[in-house]
Amino acid sequence: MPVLHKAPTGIRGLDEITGGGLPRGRPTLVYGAAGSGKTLFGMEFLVRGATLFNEPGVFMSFEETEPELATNVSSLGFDVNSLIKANKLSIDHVVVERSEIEETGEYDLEGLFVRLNSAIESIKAKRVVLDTVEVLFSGLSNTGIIRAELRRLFRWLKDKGVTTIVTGERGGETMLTRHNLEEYVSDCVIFLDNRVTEQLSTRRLRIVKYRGSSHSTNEFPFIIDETGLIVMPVTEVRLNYPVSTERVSTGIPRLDEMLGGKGYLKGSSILISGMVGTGKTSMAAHFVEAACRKGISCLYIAYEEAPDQIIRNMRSIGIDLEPSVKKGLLKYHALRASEQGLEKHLLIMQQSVLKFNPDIVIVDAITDFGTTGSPLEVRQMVLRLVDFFKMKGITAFFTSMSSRADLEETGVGLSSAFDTWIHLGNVTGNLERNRTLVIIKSRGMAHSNQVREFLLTDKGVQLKDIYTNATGAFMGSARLSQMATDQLAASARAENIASRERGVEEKRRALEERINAMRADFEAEIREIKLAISQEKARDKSLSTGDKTLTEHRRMKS
Amino acid sequence: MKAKRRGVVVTEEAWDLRLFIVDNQPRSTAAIKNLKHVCETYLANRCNVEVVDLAIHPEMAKIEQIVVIPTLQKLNPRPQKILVGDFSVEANVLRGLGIEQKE
Repeated sequence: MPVLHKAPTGIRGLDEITGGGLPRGRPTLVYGAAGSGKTLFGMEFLVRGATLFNEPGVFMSFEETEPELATNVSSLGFDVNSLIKANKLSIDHVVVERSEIEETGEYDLEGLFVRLNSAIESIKAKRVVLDTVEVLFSGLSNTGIIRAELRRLFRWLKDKGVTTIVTGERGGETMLTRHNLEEYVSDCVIFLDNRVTEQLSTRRLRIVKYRGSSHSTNEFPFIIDETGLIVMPVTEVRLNYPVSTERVSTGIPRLDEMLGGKGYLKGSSILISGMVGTGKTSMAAHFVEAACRKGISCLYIAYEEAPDQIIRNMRSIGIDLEPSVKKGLLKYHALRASEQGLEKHLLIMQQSVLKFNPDIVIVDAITDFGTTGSPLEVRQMVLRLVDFFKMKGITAFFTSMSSRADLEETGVGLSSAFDTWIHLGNVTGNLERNRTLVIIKSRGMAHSNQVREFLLTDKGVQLKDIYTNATGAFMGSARLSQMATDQLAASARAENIASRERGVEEKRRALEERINAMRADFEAEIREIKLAISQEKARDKSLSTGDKTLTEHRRMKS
Repeated sequence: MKAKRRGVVVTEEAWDLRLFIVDNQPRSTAAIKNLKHVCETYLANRCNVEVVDLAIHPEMAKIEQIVVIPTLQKLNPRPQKILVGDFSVEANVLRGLGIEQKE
């Protein structure tokens, strides 16, 4: 089997999905409705061919004039005129105006062949674009002749060995193109679609047929920006990402603690969900500020607020992002979600990331895309975005606006895409709202399951344990008042104990005093008794002495 | 200034026609033959036909916006007209050239 050679188009993304380009030396049909990008597709094929692959090309236009074409594509950065001067490109505008033509018998399209041939020969063209030959059907009445001549034309182009793109208008239900061009072009057929939903257009490309080559039948989104067409290969969600065990601080010490003491996993995807005003952007700012302080580069894609506004607002809670911006570590990319279609957003983000090559990307907020596409499309896009960041090893931090405070929802129905999911809640009570934070999940690390009170102070985000006692859990001013009440009760109790202790002491002292007094009495009594005894004894002695003296005295007298 | 010939009214001024062909293909030969017939029949002695062979002058195809072969440009008298085909349908040739037929 002969090898199918391919001619790279140079159209970004297209060569990837076609496995190398269009069939070389053969015609390819590119069809779609008006405004689907056929002409630009063809022109870029030639311009890239001339500039990247040294393959000059002929553009045969049946609709737009040469100046019109040059102007239209100059907005894509294609300098058609200088390519023409350099003999790399030849444009021929073919006019077939039915009202000016009288048909008088048999004819053929040999004039077209002559023109094409001399254009090809004059610049040694390897590529040809016919945009769009169908015009012949409206310019001439004998369709039998046109069909036969087109068949001959495509065979002739094949014989010439030029790689050709034939454009065609989208047909009805039974035919791909209005004039059944697919009948002549059998090697490769590409369909361009431009769908407009809610004023936003989404361009898609599908390879309907590619003979002899495997190709994806998926629809591929593409965009036309100031550099041309870009087709975005839908990467199947691959799961073989480089996995890191490195950690990056959340910028909030207490949250780091809750996440196993170290913070987010490097290269993981993080979702912060919560209603409006729950502190999502503040979380992002902490993360960014802490990272930039360590020299980690961040790209902040802001959909809701202007960069200046974010910087000002964050300064009010004590986070100064400006030095990081000045150092070039933090780059803002502010966009309005409704300005572009989903695909364009994805692309702009990817391009921005590729250009800046950051370690961390913040997308604030992914729910803003909800306005630009169906939930399914948004989900697909977020998946692709997460996928893209993971492949690049970028730590991706997404915020998501929840519609209800009590609902823990990703906002895009995609919890599995995120490794760490933190929900910021609101608890209303006691005439106030209090913010809460809870880690719903965090893959690959031990993490706290406690709800914390989330305070926005002038020194940034502070996390507080929620105060609990036997009667319940308390937050905000309730926490403070309950703490005060409890403290008061505690001190009263302490006072009570102290006073009772003092009473005991007093009693003991009184007892001891009494004991001492009794002892003193006792001793005094003892002393008196002893005195009395000794006096008695002394009298006894003197008495006996007196007797003796008396006896002796009596003896003398007798 | 109108001459009557076989019920056809034509102006007296000269007719400038330019015929584009490629090579001496049968269709080109037929076209020349048919055109010659028309000229001789309706425009005797007033018909200047320039034949351009695109095989020899391919650049003329782009300059003169030639797609179909054969193509005849009626340059004079005004209005200019473009006729394509081998001139086998005489009625169309006359209509294209602006030669009024009066029955």
